[in-house]
Amino acid sequence: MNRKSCDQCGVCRECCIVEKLGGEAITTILSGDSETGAWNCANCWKCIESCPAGFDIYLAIIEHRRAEKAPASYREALDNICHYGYIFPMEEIDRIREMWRLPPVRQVDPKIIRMLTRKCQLIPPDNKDDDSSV
Amino acid sequence: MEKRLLFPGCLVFARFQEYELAAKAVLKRLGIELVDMDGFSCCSSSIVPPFSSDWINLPAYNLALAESRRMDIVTLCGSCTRSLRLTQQQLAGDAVQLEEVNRRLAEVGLEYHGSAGVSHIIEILAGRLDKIAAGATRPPGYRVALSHPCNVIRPSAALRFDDPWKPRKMRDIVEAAGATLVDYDLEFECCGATLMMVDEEWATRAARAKLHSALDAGADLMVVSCGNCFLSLGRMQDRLGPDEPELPVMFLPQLVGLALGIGKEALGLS
Repeated sequence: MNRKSCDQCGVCRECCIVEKLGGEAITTILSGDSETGAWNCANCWKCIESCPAGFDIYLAIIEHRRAEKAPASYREALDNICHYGYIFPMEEIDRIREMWRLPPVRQVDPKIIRMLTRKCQLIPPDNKDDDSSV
Repeated sequence: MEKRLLFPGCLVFARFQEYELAAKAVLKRLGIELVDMDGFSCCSSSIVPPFSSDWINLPAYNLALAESRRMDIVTLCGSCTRSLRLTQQQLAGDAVQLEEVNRRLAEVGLEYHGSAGVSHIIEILAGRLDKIAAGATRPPGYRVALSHPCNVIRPSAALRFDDPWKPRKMRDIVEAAGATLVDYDLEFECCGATLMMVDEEWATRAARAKLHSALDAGADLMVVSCGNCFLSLGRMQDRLGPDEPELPVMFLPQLVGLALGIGKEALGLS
């Protein structure tokens, strides 16, 4: 954990959209008011931008997400990426592009994705990683 | 004509062909041919990093692929832009990780050197304001509210793109195109699209608040430059309820294309 330089000043809480919506996020965790919520994030990165201490909130987000169970939507997206190379399956894409009069684009070879994401194959559903570096 | 590789990202590639069409048509008018990026993959987005340090191999693969074709990349989404830019920064400052990434890339016949540039389409258009203003013979008569893509501007230390709290570049582009800008309270708030992955109610409330804020200020068009923003502010309007007022949503190059006199069909608007 790299919380040493977080002064718990609360500035990041004021700009977090999840907190504004009444939820708990990484900003709530850092302030000590919650144990969980690291996956509740809109990826707006205002927390990082606002931190007067220059604390690495992104690293904290990753660390906390690895300690919490990932939502099913993220696990499904990871599964798609590791299998197809994209967040969604793209079976119909050539037909859709033809309707828009766009030429086909060659999709990535899934073998390439398997080579590049070897460790990812082992991760879901319990988020374990044999290399904790970000 | 200058050529650049179009990195559409998963979301635009799968769901927003009109954005791709308009981007290609407008940049062609401005002297840039966008070339389809055969073999591109997901950039890892915010999905892969929490699961594995292998996340960096995907953006590095795409950057190395662009290098092998000797072209810079143009992005259309925020998340892809951030992922590719952060990877460039990380690999530039970590020789050990660079070596490890290149060992993996060698298995697929590629090598990363860091020579391919990455620009979001806002950056391309903002660098050609004079051309847009000179060619804007048909200024769109809309009162435009903007949604700025968070991942293109923050964290600013890494992206070095625009003011991280009150970004200006989209505003400059819309003004050059001759449309009227509408200031509204939630202009610089996140659209909340990614919240859909954890809580549909939060995502809906974020979108509703932003749309109402723009409508209350008198906007008759929302303009976005990210697939996620369109997902939230455009496609999610169907879920807001039958009594909710509607606000049309357009991608930035579609608005610029109209100003430049490009036909609606070529901009995916017909």
